[in-house]
Amino acid sequence: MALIIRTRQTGEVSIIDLAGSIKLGDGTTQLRDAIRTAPGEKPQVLLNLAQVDYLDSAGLGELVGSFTSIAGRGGSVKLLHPQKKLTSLLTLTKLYTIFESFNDEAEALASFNGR
Amino acid sequence: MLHSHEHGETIELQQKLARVQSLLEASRQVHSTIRLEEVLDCVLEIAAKELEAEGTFFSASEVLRDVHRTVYGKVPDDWTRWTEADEPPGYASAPLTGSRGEVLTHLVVYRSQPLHLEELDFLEGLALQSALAVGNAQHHARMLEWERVQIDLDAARAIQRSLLPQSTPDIEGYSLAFRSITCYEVGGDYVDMLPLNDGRLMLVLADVAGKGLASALMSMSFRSAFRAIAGTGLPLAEMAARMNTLHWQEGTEARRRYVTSIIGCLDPATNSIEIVNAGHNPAFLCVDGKAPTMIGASGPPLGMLPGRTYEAETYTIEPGTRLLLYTDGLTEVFHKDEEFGEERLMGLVETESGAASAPLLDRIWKTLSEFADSPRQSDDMTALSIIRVRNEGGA
Repeated sequence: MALIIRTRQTGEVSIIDLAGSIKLGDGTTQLRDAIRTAPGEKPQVLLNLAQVDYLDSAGLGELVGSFTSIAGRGGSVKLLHPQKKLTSLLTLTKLYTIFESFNDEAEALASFNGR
Repeated sequence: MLHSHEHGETIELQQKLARVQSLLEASRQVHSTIRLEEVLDCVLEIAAKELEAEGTFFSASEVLRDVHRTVYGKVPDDWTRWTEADEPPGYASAPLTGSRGEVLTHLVVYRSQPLHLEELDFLEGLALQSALAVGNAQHHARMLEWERVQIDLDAARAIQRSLLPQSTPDIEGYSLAFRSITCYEVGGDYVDMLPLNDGRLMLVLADVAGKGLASALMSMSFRSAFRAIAGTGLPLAEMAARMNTLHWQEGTEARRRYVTSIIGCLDPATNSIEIVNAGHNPAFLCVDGKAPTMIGASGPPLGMLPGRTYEAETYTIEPGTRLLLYTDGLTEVFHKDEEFGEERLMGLVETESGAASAPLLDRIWKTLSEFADSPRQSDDMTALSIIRVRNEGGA
């Protein structure tokens, strides 16, 4: 399934709802653009991954790449509802610690305000 | 003797026949070449001659991007301003429609005398034939281009295959074997073994994110880095950290093609192996009578994040020990929605007799091909097996 992206703005936080799969040549570029165009000098991005059924190595690269570029601008990227496959991929690759991850949207939003 | 109205009908039929014949002849000519430029030249000439037009041309379009001449005869100076929506007097046109219904271009005729209905029919018929001929010419051009790309890829494949270890080192008491199969012509998996002067063996198994040519390019860059650093005597963890930094410094595109990898150093003198895992699938270490060990990552894949550190672990290799390094192409073979997975793969290593590596790899590949739905591989698949052979008569 191709990636569907919807962006909602809640205060300073851009919530990006993703549905489908994030893989090489199909979803990675869209994800990059969606995160890159998040507003604010220090973009605050929350990726809602509840409906992401598949993520390949290129998708993982995009996720981490977006994280580092936003972090480089002083912003942050956090994850909401990461699915089992992604969680195990992040664990396997020792990348779990770089992302703050939530299973509750309100809690995730509150974490941005706390910064 | 014919009556006059019958005579008129005969003439009309003869004229129709002549037009059909001229269209057939035009069609034959248009289809006599598969070079786009020749097709277009031919069409313009036929249209001008058959319709006794002052000039003919093709409207500006993507199809004509690489074509030099698109005008025949004499057309008014402002011919480039012609549009389908706003056709000035003296012009007539018919669209060339592609196989997906898209308009490729318009065949435009300039003649001060307006075209008759039959002449417009001829123009449309010619445009129809032209569109087919243009389609064939484009297809032919793509075929030629594809052939060139294919030759390039075949050459790249030959290079990549030749850069795999040409033989496995002969180490007394050990059986080593590797296998690497790409899913396209070239791939992003990499396996290498480099004997050191002191008798130790450096080994690496790596997987560049993605597949195909871009990943293959990065894997070759990774190979150079590994080969340069492998003989330096640096601690393994330090090697991984440096390779991480080197790859990261290559920039954004390279970072997307990060490398998950396992670097190892086998010491036959002490029967031990030191291993550092950088974001790669866990290696399996199996010894009879003990629970298998999964050697997981101590840090993220190489080239993904700056300034990362890694840790190496040393494992004792008892007689009969099997160590398998592999890329996720093996565990991610699918049967319907079910992945082959780590457990099944580890099961194959656990139940291996411990006699030799090549039969183990044979068994793994056979099992995977039986498990898979499709004979077509969907990812690169690479594995390296290291077995310490049991002493004769059993140890």
